[in-house]
Amino acid sequence: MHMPAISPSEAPILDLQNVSAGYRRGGLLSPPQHPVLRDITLSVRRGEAMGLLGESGSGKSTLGRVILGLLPALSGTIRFDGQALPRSTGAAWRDLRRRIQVVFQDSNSTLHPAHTILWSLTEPMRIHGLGTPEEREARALAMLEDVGLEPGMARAMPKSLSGGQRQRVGIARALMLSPELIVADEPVSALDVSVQAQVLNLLKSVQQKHGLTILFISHDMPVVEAFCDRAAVMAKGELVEIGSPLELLRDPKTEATRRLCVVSN
Amino acid sequence: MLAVQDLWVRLKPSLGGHPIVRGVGLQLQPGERIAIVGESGSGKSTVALALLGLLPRDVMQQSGSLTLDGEDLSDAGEDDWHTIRGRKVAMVFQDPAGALNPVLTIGEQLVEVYRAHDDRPRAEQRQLAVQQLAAMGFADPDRIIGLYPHQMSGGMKQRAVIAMATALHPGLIVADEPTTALDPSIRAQILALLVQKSEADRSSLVLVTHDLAETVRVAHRIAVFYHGRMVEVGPAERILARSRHPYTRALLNARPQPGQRAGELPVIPGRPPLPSEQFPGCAFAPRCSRAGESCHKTLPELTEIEPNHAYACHFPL
Ligand SMILES: Nc1ncnc2c1ncn2[C@@H]1O[C@H](COP(=O)(O)OP(=O)(O)O)[C@@H](O)[C@H]1O
Ligand SMILES: Nc1ncnc2c1ncn2[C@@H]1O[C@H](COP(=O)(O)OP(=O)(O)O)[C@@H](O)[C@H]1O
Ligand code: SF4
Ligand SMILES: [Mg+2]
Ligand SMILES: [Mg+2]
Repeated sequence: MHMPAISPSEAPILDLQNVSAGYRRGGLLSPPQHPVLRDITLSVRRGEAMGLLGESGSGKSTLGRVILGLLPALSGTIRFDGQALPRSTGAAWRDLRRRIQVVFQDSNSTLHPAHTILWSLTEPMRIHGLGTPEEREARALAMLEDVGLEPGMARAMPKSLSGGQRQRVGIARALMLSPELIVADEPVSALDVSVQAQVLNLLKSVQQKHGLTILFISHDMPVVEAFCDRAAVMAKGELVEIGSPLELLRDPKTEATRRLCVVSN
Repeated sequence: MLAVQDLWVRLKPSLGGHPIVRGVGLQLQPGERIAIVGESGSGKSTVALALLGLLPRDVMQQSGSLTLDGEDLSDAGEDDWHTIRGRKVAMVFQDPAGALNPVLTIGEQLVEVYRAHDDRPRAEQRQLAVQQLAAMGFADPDRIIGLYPHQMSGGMKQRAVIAMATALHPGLIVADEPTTALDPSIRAQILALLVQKSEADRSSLVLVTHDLAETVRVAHRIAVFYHGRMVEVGPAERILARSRHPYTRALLNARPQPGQRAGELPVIPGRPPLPSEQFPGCAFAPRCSRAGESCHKTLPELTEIEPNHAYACHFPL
């Protein structure tokens, strides 16, 4: 088979071709409603911070879900590290789940309210049957250190944490399985402005230290401009524009991008 | 005119007794618009609720004085407030869906507002409702009037809430984060509408927001809250261009500026304090780069140092 010559760093870690997706109203056999995502083609390079911008309802989180294997694509192909992602969300996903992790807007949803932070941090390794209890704890403490939290935090309960601390723990938990790609869905949107910059700085240092690729979902142009190497703009389920954040700001080609720029000033 | 003096709000002693609002004073002339800004937990919503007589009495206690158009409301009871709200003070909250009745059309709800306060014929009230919706920027008020809340977008619902809140031309509008739950692209329109209503009725506006950028096109004055206190207040342009309180400046600098890279963004260390935390001196001292010894020992009082510009800081910028 003929392969185009590309250097390894240029090879996309994530490659979407003409991806469509939608939600079903009824059971699995009912027809999907008109697709929420239409014909998305997007390529993300290894080590890149790729922004996904758009107004609410434009389909950003849905695209994140498709990449995480939580929602099957209706059509199109998604390649991760050169391999097509399986259509089913079943067992074939097990190994991929390790390599692709997620950070949500509010990490509370990933922290068990009745257990310590340590318990929630080690949960992904337990699910994947990795390590001894001692190894899991050692890994958790190392990840806490990477996100700038005291080791004592391991014994704390989720409800005693501030919003900024919870997001740090959410990032630490996403790092536990040494992923290659992290989908971060509005990771600082729920934080106070004085804490947002702390978490953005932290996420960037973690990205560099662990050589991560990050798909950074946000509606906030200044935040994307500070964090991302490139950004794609979504509007009504379609990808309408892609470029460096500065290009998008200086020379928006579409109405959707223009609106995101105006709002932020 | 609104005048608030030395307003304190505390949790009930059985709940710990922590002060949530600490000695806040505020005067607003007719038609004047002020923005209250600060991070979460700084007491903004509690002040807003106090202005509306809506503090949860089973949880909080209030002291200090509150007068509206010369009427002393410091000890007003729920019955008094019931007649005041809607006619003299109006409220707009973050979640428009919560302020609307899901089983009535917008028209029915708006007519209800008029009906509660005068006995004009129903047809006339309906006409008023249509006019009011047109004044809210709805191009087709005759259609809107027949819609139920679930048939409207968030922005449309918030317009409808503002229509109801301002139907009786109250002298004071209190809007607590009225755009936070809305799409960024329509936030500016909702704020413009509030400004327009305040100008048309010469009503005062208190806009509560966590977003300093939002205040620019709205407020004549900006008041910055931290740990339940007003730490700086002054003309809006002055606060934005030449704030003297280090916390205000830090808030202004906290949003990433063009060209700044994540990894090197300037940060305010730590996090906003809780009401239960106590500081012998300035509550911002643990996070402040200018803090000196006196900051940790003595509370800086809010003092008018330049005309109409007051700040509470031992070492202002
Ligand atoms: N679980 C769901 N079931 C049905 N429709 C959904 C679901 N989640 C999102 N949608 C719809 O999909 C569209 C895109 O939503 P979403 O991906 O959440 O957008 P964004 O993250 O950009 O705000 C919206 O119209 C939304 O109503
Ligand atoms: N009903 C309540 N019971 C107990 N504490 C409350 C209640 N309402 C507010 N508080 C506390 O008061 C503080 C200030 O809250 P609030 O006025 O809502 O701040 P803001 O609007 O600036 O975020 C917060 O720490 C909050 O936890
Ligand atoms: S009083 Fe001191 S600690 Fe407080 S803001 Fe001013 S300089 Fe900073
Ligand atoms: Mg989303
Ligand atoms: Mg509030």
